[in-house]
Amino acid sequence: MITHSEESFSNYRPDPTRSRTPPETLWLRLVELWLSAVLAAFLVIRVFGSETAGHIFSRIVSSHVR
Amino acid sequence: MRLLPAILANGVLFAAALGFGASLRRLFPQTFSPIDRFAFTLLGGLGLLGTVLFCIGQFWFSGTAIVVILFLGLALVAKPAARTIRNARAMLSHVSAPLWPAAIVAVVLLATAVGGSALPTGDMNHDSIAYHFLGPKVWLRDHLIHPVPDEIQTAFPAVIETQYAALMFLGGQRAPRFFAVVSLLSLLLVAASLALRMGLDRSGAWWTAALIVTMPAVYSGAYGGFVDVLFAAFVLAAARVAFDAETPGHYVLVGLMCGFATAAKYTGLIAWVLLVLSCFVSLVFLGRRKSSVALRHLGISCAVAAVVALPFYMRNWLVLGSPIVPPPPLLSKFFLVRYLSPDAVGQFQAYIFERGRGLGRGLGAYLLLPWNLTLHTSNFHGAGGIGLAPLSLGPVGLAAARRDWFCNSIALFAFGLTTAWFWTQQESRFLIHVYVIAAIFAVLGWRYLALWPSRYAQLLSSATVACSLIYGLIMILPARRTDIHAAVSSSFEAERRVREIAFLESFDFLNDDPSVTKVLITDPYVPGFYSNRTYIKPLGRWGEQTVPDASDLGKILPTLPSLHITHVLDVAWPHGAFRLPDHPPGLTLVFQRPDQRVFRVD
Repeated sequence: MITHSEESFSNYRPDPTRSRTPPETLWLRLVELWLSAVLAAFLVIRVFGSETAGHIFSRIVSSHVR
Repeated sequence: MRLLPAILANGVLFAAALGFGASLRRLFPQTFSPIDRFAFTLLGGLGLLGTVLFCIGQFWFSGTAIVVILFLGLALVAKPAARTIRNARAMLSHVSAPLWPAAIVAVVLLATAVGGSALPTGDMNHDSIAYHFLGPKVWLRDHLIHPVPDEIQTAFPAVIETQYAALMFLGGQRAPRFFAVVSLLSLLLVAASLALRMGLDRSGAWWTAALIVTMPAVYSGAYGGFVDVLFAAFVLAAARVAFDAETPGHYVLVGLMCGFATAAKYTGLIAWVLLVLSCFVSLVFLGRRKSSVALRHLGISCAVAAVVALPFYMRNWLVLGSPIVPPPPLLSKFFLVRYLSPDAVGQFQAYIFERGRGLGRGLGAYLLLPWNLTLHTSNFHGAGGIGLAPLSLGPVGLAAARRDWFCNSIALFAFGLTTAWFWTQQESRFLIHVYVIAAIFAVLGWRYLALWPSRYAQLLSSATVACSLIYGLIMILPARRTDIHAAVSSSFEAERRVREIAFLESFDFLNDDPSVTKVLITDPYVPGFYSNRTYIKPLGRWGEQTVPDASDLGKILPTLPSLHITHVLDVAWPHGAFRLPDHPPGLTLVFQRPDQRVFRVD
């Protein structure tokens, strides 16, 4: 037996990106910091630290600089 | 033209699967969108087709049997296909795809299609050569589905490998590798279905698909015969419908998908139990159902899943002595396995434990798992990892969707899967279902940040997604280069076979000589997949013993005539020696190369 009387679960189509209040400044800064840190770590360890992908990235960067 | 049979075979199997899947449409929730319906029709069809092939193949697996089963699927698809063709123009007018993610998905699928059409090569380190393709080839030769005694991993649940056999019969050895396209497509469809249900729009679903298809760890679970992607698709399909299920029919559908997952990989058992637990928590603790009702409905799912998976596990129990072969530590106390001594089982368990230890099993390693899975992928045999987006944007997506019960339920399920994976075997491709969920949360987080009043955060999140996609493409596409070259150039393909298949000359000799009927292969590591003749390997690479006194070739040689062996293949690996003496009694040397020789039994 269904114990709720709301709209059908299956019909529910939420959009979590909508109806959000603007975040506090502190949260904003923390998220920016998190994104920057992870991106930097990934670039250093996975991309430039990786033999194959790092080689290709380095070539792209060096040709661009030249 | 060389590639055409493989492509056509996959087309026939795809259509037959849609036919079988169409019979499940009555179970679909009314609220399913066209993409949900298509994804579940395809997945349900692949699961049903594999199960039917397996069950009938226990007694009859000739070409006729395969054709009859596929023809049944094609007959079932005729009516829905005609309806679809009639409505095609109207349906296509609604289809729109954002350029970049659609182009990325198309490029990866195209590279997979072409590269996947090359003939399989490699040694026993390739799982496809060792067992995913070996089983189907032997089953077709023997007209019966059965475990290959010298390769115990052919006893794994085989709902996908049975379809490899059908593909091999129709389209030759290239066809199962081309199946990677169907596997990836199935996963992307169910991921799109889940992404839309979790609140993303069509564009978001496309970006999710692009992120998933460019995850090297996901890709490696589909390409070259791996079954992990299709397994993950079954698990995700079960989860997609489980948390929304209302009627008994919906729960039957959940059970079917859980059953197919369990019939594809042993880890399906864990996913099945965790999904039922997550569902119970979601239903009861969120006050959506009374516990008695939830238990009754979930009981339906469990019963259906058990019925679907039963043939695969029962066959192993009857034929090999244990439902799970090789048995895990707990089961090995109660079950003895045919062909494998307790010592060999223990060594296999030790190998799995060692291979799956990742960066440790302590609390610190557990807490650092998202970080390590992203940045230290090789410790998990991760084939290049999962990109950056899940770690970076996933937590933001989780926070954004924190008030959505469906997203929370899916997150709970993913958490359970990850924990179970962490405690059992930390092999990256065994976690593909969680990577898909993480990609959806990442796109949710990206979309959420797009609404924030910080230009910097928006820029960073877009750069994160771009970095993930470019990184994935760089890891995946260049690695397909030799496969694509082999597919389009027959001369290069022939060169590559010589280079990558050990002892190919001997296999060619044995396969071409009409007097050869049954071969003894003396070395456990010689890939039996390349033999078109029936063969016996006394000793397998996991210690399988297929004949008495398997480790003593001297005792086996006098019994060769009674085993109907006509030829013996003896090889020497680099820095190794032949296993037979130069002039073995009762054998005549008929073919020789520096590291390989073939004897005829006198």
